[in-house]
Amino acid sequence: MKKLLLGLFFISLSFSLYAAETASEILKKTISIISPEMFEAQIKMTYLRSDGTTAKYAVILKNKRYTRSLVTFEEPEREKGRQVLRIEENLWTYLPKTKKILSVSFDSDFMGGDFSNQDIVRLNLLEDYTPEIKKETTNQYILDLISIGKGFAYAKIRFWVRKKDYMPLQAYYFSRSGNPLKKLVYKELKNFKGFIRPAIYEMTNLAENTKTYLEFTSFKKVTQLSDAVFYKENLGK
Amino acid sequence: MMRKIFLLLFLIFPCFLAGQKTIPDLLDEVPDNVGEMKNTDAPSTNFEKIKTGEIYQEKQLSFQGLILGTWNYKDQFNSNEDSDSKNFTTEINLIFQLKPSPLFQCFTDFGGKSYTQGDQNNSPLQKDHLVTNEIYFSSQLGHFNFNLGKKRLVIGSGTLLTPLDIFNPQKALPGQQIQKEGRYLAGMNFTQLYNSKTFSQLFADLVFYPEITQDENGLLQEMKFENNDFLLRLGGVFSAHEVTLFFFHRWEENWFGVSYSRYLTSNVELHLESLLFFHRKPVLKNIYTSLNKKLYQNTLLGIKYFLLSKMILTLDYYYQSDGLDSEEWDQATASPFIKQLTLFYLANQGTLYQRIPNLTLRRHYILGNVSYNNLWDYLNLNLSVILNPEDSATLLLPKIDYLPSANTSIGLGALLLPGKSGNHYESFGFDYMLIFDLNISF
Repeated sequence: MKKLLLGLFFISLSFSLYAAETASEILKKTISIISPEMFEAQIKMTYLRSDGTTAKYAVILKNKRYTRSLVTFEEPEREKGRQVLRIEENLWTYLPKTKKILSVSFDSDFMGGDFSNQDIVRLNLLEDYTPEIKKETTNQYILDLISIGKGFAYAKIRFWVRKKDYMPLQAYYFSRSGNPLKKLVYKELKNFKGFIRPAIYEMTNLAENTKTYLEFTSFKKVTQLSDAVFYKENLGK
Repeated sequence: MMRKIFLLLFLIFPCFLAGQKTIPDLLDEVPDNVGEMKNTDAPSTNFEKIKTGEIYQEKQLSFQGLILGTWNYKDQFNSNEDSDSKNFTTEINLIFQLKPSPLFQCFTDFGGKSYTQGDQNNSPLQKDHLVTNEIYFSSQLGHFNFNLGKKRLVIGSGTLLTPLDIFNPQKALPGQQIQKEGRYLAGMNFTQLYNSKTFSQLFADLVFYPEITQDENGLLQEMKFENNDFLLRLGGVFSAHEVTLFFFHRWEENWFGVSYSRYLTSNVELHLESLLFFHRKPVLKNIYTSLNKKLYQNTLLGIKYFLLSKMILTLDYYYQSDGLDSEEWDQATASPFIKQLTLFYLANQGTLYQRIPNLTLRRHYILGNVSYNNLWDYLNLNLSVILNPEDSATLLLPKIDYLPSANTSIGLGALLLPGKSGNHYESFGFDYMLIFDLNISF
């Protein structure tokens, strides 16, 4: 009897390990599509205000190994040259008019839209969250990503992935109290010179019922990106 | 009675439940909006069509321009007829950046400024001039960056004031023109990034400022190497702690600085900036000629709190040990004549030293700032307060910026000095100043 129980224990353990590995593998494949290790992207951000009007921003995002990011504003004209730099767990903004570099919070919203600084430059789903398969349907995996600590903006992310090619489809972001905060819908598959990924992100703020669109007008997966791009000394240059 | 309470609860409870947000189950398949690759694409949203596969290329030559118009009106509350004055400044900035490779970059910032001042008694005074704010070359060689030319270098991170400001260009307080003009320097920076959360970067700067004579347009006329200034900066980021140490040699004296910041939680930052020196700052040294040689320290300690993801609250305590105590201030203003001399001296110091010297003459200051950006997406709100508890000198700076279009902002604000009679902010010579500014970027 003891041996039977021991056997069952090891079988269930190996099954759960296999399941965790599978969730992790699925997530890795999806992340390699939406955020490869190094890339440069040109993004247009459109914020739909509650009164029906829109605010538009254009930025260039450079990302290296999920720990270094640089955002440079191209539009609107009054924000041109503004930069946001992330190195590991630190975030700074460079203000070109005063030439000042100020530290900022990851939780602040990104230029008044529904994306936070964290969503743009920090969200590292591979290292900061533990994935598990919540449900598997005919065409989709539904994953739950649970944050590994308390210092993250979202305690849980529910993530829908297309089975056949691991394309991300949708994500729900939850607070620590379990309330859904935001909903992200991935849209419009595009071929960026051989790299195929969704070109539009639609983020809905569920509390305020506002929407922000990120439209990738350019995406370049690169194999080398100099560290000098992310030096504080080079902000404004 | 109990029945009534139960009946009431019975009626209220369903209403309460109806008011609660229902959390969706979210375990069903979702619509596939990603779709398949198409050769001809009709975007599902109202955006311009995305050019398939376009790759971003870094610009080698970039240009940016700014037109700034500022109008100020100063007066006193119990004014006589001729106490008011008006200033109107228009400024055009043209910024060019040539970046053929990281090995060679050239940055120039030219400006033209027209300044008109008028009051009841005198005919308007007008000054026009062209100025070269910045013109420098920069080169990146591995971990080293070299800068040569006229450049604005801003150190310290305090929002309103920091002890390190005495080495910076003018603060951008409402109603004050931003001093964009840099200094001629030769600088070298070393930066090393590490793939570690506990020690993520190390940086060091060595900056040499030769003594320069400039022409009226801010261009180099003559260079001497007798009274040179130096800046040595060494810093790093250790986990969430950012520490920078400074050594300055300026005004023929040595100054030691330290700057520290870290996030206590994801939205609360603690910061400290301190400056140590063995003599009073030039602006204070001559008001009260105390010859006591001791170590002075000016320190700013405060927190920055990010609230509701849009609002930033800053609260700082600024201690200035070389500031004037009550006895010294009384001596500096002992009679109307001495007071006039002191104020005249302070006004003159503005051109060569700290641009607004009368902001921090005393020892203790409480600084507060609240800013709320993108309110209804059209407005930026800002309120700054500087308070000296020793003589109740108070400075309030409320300002609203309206953003009507992508390249324009219109600002309306005031600089108010509501402190008690006799406080040291009376040295400003006005009780209130109304500010209107217009920024157009192109």
